[in-house]
Amino acid sequence: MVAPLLTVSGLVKHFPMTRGHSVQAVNDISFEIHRGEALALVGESGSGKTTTGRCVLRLIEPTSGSVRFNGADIVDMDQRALRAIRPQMQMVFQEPFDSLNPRMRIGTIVEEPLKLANIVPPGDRRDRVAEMLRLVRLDTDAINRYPHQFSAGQQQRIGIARALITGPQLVVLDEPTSALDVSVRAEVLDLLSDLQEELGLAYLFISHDLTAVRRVCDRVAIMYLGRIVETGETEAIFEQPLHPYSRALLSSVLYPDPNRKLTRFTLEGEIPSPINLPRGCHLNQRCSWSEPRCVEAYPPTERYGPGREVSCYRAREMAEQDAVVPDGGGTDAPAGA
Amino acid sequence: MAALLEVEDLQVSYRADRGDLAILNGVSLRVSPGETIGVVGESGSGKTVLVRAILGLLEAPFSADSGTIQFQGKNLLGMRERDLAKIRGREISMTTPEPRKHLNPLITIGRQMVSIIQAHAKVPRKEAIDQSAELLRSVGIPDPALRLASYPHELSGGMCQRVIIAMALAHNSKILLIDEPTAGLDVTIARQILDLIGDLVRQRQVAVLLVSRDLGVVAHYCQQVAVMYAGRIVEQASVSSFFHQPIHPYSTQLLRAAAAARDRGHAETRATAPLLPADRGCAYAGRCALAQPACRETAPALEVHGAGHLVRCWRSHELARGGVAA
Amino acid sequence: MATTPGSVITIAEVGAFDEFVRFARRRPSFMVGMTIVAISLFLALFGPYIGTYPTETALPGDTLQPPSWNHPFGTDVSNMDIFSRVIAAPRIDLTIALVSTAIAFIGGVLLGVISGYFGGGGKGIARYVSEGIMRGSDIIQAFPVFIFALALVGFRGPGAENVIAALAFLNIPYFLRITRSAVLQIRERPFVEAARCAGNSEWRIAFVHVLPNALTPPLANISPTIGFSILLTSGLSFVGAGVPVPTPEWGSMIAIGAPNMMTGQWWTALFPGIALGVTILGYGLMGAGLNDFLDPTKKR
Repeated sequence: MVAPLLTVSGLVKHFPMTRGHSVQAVNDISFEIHRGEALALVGESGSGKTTTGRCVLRLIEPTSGSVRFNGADIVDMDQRALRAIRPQMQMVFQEPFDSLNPRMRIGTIVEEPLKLANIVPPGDRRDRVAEMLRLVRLDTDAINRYPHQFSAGQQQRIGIARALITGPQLVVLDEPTSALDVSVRAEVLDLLSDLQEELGLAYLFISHDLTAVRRVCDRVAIMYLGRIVETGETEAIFEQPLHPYSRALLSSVLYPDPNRKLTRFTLEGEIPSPINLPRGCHLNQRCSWSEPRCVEAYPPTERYGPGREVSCYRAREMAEQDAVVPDGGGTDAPAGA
Repeated sequence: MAALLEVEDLQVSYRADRGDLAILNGVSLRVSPGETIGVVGESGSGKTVLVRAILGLLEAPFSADSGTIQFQGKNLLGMRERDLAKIRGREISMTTPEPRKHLNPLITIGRQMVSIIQAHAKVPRKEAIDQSAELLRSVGIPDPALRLASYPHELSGGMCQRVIIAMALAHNSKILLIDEPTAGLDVTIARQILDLIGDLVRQRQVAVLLVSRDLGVVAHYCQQVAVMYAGRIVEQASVSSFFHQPIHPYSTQLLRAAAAARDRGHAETRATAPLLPADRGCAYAGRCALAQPACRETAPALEVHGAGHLVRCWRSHELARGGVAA
Repeated sequence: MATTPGSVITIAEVGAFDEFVRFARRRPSFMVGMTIVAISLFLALFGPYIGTYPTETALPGDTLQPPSWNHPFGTDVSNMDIFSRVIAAPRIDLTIALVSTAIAFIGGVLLGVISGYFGGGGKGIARYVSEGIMRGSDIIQAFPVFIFALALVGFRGPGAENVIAALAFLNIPYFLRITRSAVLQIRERPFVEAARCAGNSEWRIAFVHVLPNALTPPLANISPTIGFSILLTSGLSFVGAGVPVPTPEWGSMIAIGAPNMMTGQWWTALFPGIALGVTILGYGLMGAGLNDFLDPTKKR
């Protein structure tokens, strides 16, 4: 078994606030990404997925836990060692325009990581830039233009070119298509998919858009209020989500097909604030399957087959009820409740 | 069913330094009770401008140049501000994609709702407060008393949207203009809001114009759909016709892009030209895989293709017959 | 599969020349300002050569002559031609204003970037330095400007260099604050994080990425600062603390001519006064116009 490229263990990030409170953004999560694998981190606001992405690249300092990249723990490194590793792990940002320096030309923007990493002689750098632009399907005469002269989709491609120019092994993508129009999303997602195959990249794909995730990722980890509630292969999770939150999330996806009936597995109420986390399972106030033990202690992570993990006391029960009452998405409440 | 609101050939332009830009270029549609018509298009297509034009909320440099907006036998376009004010919020209401921005941050929700209620009805304060609480309950906000005393920043995005919807319903408006109700909302909350709107529409038999970029929303919450591109409606049909037999090349492209493909399909990678109204010819010609010279010369007109299915494309007949792969 | 970049419906951060011309045409106040500024610069360069009379030596003959064909602005108490002196004055005024503003701009912007980028967070030494800069700036700004200028010049003595030093010192906090507030906003933007991700050191980010984007507000304030500096120079000269007497300078000319106004020779202080007022107005108008032009949020 080859060692994973990235191993995150027990990652915690709390943002301190006034008067002793803190925003508990990430609460003890662990996951692995192997070389060439695309893992999605899915969740809504307050899930902690964005914070996790930034902790993985150490753009934010984790409160505790470890992030091992190629065996070395990033959290412990000093600034110099960290900068030496940066070429290996890059990021694509959510905002197409705002993630580019408006006063720099595209050529300079894309070249910069390469220049700073010093892995290629100066003479060859421009060629690499041109190569990257071609790889993301942009005209090379973009080199002398400015970001505002491009559309959002093109700006995002520039960001991708910049992220890939140093030949990273891991790319963290933070909602890469959320700011794009629907018609452009598919193109960019396909590009990302193709690049992953061509270059053997590992992705940490952070998104709330389940259809995007389905298109690009092999595996999915679903997050809720700073914890991973379910992990598994993409198709398996879409076929049959096991955790109640996963069910609610998946049943909220509106497919552009009026014939596909909507399932009504909804959760009551609002998402609690990460400042005041509910005790025990974070979902207990909204879940119709909630029981006293759900409030007492956070459910342990259980295996449901190869690569499939769920943190819920009653997931097995729910799955069994599915088998009896096939609904194509799970039932709203325990039978007889 | 007789239409409550009929927009006919509406032209709206934007006066820029370099000349006038056509933002809405002859838009026509009708909204009927109990029916939700979805207006779809990408950013820049003119959807929000349409909503604001209907309520007379356009400000310079935008200007509504010509066309009619028929409501109860009167033309809203060109109506005096005084008369429009009587209609806004009472007969016709709107919601907004940014609910929090449209709430006064310095005043409690309760006071804002009361002022809305009292704007169109002589209702004593105590009664207005009770009505407000009832309205909040009807949009699914538990514990309305607490919310009435809260300020907008204390509410989540989803709650703000519910409040805006409640305000839109304060006077039992017959027509609702709902602009991107789920923008910026989490998926599970968005679903709640949409189900809420769906229930309300059914219960009250209002006529709804729903603006959205999301085809999924349109598929499940609308009966009619109008596709806008660069200020024109390029296709209009019932939802089932649209999703099963889209005719206009742009519609096909939208559907393809939105489809949740199980396998990693390849979307059409076409040169994406900017969304600008064309001076002559079809505005979509720059992006269209099927564009012919004629398309760049003259702009096509809307043609009928079966019951209530309108398409604006020179090649629509070929496409309808399935002779061309779009 | 080539895609051609098209233009986007967003407002460019830097206006193009044609836009500038179009903008200028629609703003008569801006054009007036620009004209005045242009004239002042022209006079700064060539003024001393245009006047037909010497500007620093007293002439024999009747003093205090009213405006006439020979002397369009009349003569003053030393029988020097006021017109020649009025148009020669911009040289010293503008030199002082431009040099001091340039120094204040460079100093203020650099300090503003440092205190804006490294301050505010909890980064140890950098934070203390930034706080120190801000408090120092507060102290300077706490004093009434003119009194402070007087004190500084009094400390070092009159003369052009000292006026320059005083004005530069006084204006640094102004540019500092403007730059700092721009920097505070810019450092939150995603492209700064992206720069970090690309491997930039914090210093490099501050000066290569943030600074160029923070220049617009201070640049827009250069013009009004020049105008204000001219005013201050004249004020200092008026009380004898600025440019020494023989050198033509509007403030000192007003001082010399003021007593004569009481005795009926109205031309001695009026013309330099008008010149001063109009010039400062010009710089102010140009500054206001530039500010609007460079501000992408204002609809044009």
